[in-house]
Amino acid sequence: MDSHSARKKEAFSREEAPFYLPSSNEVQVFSSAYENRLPVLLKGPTGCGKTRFIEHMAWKLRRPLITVACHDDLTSGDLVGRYLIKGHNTVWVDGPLTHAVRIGGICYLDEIVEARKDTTVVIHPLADERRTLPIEKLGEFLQAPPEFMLVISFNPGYQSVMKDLKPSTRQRFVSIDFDYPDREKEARIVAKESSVPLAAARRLVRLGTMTRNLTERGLDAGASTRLLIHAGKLIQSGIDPVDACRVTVVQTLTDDEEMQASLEEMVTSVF
Amino acid sequence: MKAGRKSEPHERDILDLFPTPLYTSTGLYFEEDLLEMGLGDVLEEFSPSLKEKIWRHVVTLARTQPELGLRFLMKSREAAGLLDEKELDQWMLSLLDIYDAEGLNPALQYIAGLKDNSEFRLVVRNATTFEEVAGILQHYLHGLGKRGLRLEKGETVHTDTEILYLPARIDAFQDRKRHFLLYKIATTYLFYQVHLGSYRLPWAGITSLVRTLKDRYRIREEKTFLSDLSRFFSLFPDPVLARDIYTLVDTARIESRVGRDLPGLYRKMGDIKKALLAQRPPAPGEDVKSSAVEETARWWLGHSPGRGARIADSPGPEALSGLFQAVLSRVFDGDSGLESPAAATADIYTAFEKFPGPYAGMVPIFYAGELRPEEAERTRRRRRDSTRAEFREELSKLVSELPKCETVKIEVPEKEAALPGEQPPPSQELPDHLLIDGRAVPVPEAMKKLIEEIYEDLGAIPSSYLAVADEMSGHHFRPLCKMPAGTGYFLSPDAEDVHVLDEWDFRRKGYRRNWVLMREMEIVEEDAAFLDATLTRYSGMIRRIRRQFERIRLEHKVLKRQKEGDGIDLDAVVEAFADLHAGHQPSERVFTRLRRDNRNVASVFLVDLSGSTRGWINEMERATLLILSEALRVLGDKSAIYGFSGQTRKRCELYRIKDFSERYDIAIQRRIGGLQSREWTRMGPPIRHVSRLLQGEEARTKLLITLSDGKPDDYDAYKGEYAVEDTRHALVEARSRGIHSFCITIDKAEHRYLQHMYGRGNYIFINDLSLLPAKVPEIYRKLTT
Repeated sequence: MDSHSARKKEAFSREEAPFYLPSSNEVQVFSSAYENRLPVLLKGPTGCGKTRFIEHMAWKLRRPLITVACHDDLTSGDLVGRYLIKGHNTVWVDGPLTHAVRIGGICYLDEIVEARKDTTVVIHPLADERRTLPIEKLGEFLQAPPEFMLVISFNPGYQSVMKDLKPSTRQRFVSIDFDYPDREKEARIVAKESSVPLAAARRLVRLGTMTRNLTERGLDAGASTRLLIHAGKLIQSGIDPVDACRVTVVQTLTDDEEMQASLEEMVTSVF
Repeated sequence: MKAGRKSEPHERDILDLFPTPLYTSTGLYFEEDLLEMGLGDVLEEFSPSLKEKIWRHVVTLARTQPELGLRFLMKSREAAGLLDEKELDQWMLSLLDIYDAEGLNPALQYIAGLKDNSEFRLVVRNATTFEEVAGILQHYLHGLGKRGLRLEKGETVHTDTEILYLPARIDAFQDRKRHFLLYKIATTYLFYQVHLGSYRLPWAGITSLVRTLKDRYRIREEKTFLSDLSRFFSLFPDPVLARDIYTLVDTARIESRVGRDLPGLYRKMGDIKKALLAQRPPAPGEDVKSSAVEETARWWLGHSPGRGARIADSPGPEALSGLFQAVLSRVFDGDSGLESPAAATADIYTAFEKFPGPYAGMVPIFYAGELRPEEAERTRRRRRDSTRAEFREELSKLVSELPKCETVKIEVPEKEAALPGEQPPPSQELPDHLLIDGRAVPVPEAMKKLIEEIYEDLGAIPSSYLAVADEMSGHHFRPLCKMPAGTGYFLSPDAEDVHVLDEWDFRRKGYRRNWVLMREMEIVEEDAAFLDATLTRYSGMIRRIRRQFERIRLEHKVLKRQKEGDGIDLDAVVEAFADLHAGHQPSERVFTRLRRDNRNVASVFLVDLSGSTRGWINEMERATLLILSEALRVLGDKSAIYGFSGQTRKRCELYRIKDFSERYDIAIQRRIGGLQSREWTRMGPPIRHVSRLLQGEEARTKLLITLSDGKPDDYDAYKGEYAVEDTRHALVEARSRGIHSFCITIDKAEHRYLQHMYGRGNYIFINDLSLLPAKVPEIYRKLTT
């Protein structure tokens, strides 16, 4: 690995442990998948700890972590790399996926279903026993070192039939299901991340649970742990709890007046 | 009003509404008299929307009592000058209430007096109606807990464990915010009554108490009661007193929990409770027991938390109440299990029984409502049957996915012992896997909720639930409908609006030619009040749907990296250029194209109108259709809605709610409002007929969506496999015409017949009726985008 890559590798590594409170055995499962060189799919709603988990695991396994946020313009070229014109020369530049393979890091493709379909062509050979990345334009088949790991994430439930993971893709991965942590754990997480006292954190979690009961009944998704942490931070810096919840939960989750009124009623019930 | 015409009423419509000679309390009117009064012109000055609204009110009133409609119409101009639209609605509704309660003359006086009428000031200006709050509180209720509960109007505040009943209006206070708060508190209370099992009395757990009561009072247990709670009350000499005591104890228990779970709400309750106390009427009787109960209720409303019971020295109602108050305080502070309310009730009763004489009863505390154990038990049993059926279906699905085994033995794993000192949270007590032939099989998502319900209801999964059913024909939960009265007519095949259709006989693998006679029927438009109420109540959802569907309609997407198009994709060009320089073949996909989303969809909705007791045509389902129609209107898709029913092959009925040529407008809304439950369900003929209609429409995508509540069957031989096969064949014929079929069902029985008829993945079961209005448009959206 040249010095350029080495520097980049450093840039993707973390010094201190990212705080993560396990819900069940996900840490062991992930470690075991890593040892067995299996790719992993993290499934779950937004804001419930998937990204924090992968950061924690990357730190624990001491691998650099490269994250790609997928969107519907993302092509395989964006992942693998492309030729750029610099001056009079053309230079090949690795995309994030290729880079991760080269340095033996963990590549995390967040919200993979959003990306274009041609990206699966690239992911499939990496995600099965072959563990190779075909780089068409270089005519290269890059073999992934044993330290490399592919992780993808996926938010089920809110999909249309069009945007779904095909079985041929899904079945290459070990799936870990994420959900909001149970109430006491979530309260501890909220308290730790926002520095708000545990009693207030418990109330926030109660509010969060109430909003999650509204999924599919008017809300696309309930309040994630992240939103509750935001609220906690505002409360901790002196904002009145009802106001804090209004701006972090009520206004964030919906623009519909009637739903806002309902959420407001929930907030004033709890605080 | 005839269907399909413009909604503006003409003079003739107005005159038709009042059959002449019109007898009123002040005289006799002929048509010339009405015209001279200016009846034809009254509405002229109004804006179209106001005119429409007032006209609707007049029609509703006139159909109840013509003179009411007449006076209302004549007063409408003055009223419109004084009241805003909402107040006009309230005025009309309160007028009907007064007419129902007091009769014609008070109602006429009410109209005449208008604002000067003191009742008007109280009732209209300050009342908060159910419709105003239902939308918000329904969401709030869902937030409290996932239970499929819904809110409806009722005479009294109570719940049957599925529906929470709230009063039609609250007008006790000047401040409307207090009305809302009262509605909210009542909703919360009723929720907790279900959640904390106020109606659940584990008979097995109180056997010693029951024996004690039987020994003490020597009353034979009333076995005709359905519910354990009623049976419990019947063990006391005065079951009504026992019930009232239990109600207060339960109220304390619930309020304690509300204080812990929802501190914000609880804080606001103190003020409201005192306000309720100030308005509380005196006890219904002056006897010692009624006074004591009343005294306790008052104390409950008025005391501040922390200040304990008032103990009196001298015997009498105060002392009695004091004892009662002490118990309530203990209940409030402590963490009682479920038999404690029963034990506490028995304890308090023994203090009361020292005072002989009658007990007149208790005025309920508004937000706690009243307990109706028999009603709740009936609902619970109905639900238990369907939960059991659902659970067994999920179980058979689970088993069928495993490799074949000889015998299938299913067990629930033993609960893991809790670590000493640790209290396992309730959710961990639910099994997350089942043992099938000794192997641990994880419980799928769909089953988890069912298990939760079963545990809450019964505490464990009974072994009878674990038997795997394997029949194609499931159970019917529809009770057999009685033969409808006076309907002996048959259709003539020669009549103009009668269609003659074939039917498929699977036994001979051929058609029975010209077997079925089906007639298109008109729907009597009714229930304008329902329409108004529904549109108000679901206004939030309708707005949301509109926005959502407008987005779909307006979706103009720019497609990138196209082989041809009218724009240039700069990213792609740069990449191609670089590739070219590097000596590679550049990509041809360097253009952008604007995709104008030309929706080209034609859909038909077929609604099953057959006479099932839990059938489609009740308020929830009509609301669904209204909302769906709104979505269709926004999308601009070609759509039609038909209802079907019938009785025997010679008398199928097809109800045209909206055909392809009609625009969705208020006439359609009124037809939906007028839908009623009919007879039976012969599905083949309507499917064939509307498929033909769909075929005649030009569209790229053609959909046939059936809203059903059960298997097809009719009064004659159209049942069982024959009916399923004919329906399936009709759908196959539709498919050959390029029509995709889909079924939305609320049939709680097993669904394998649906898979056979519609094919895997082409049907969906909606368990929770309250989800219908939101889900059906969403399903439509997913099918067509």
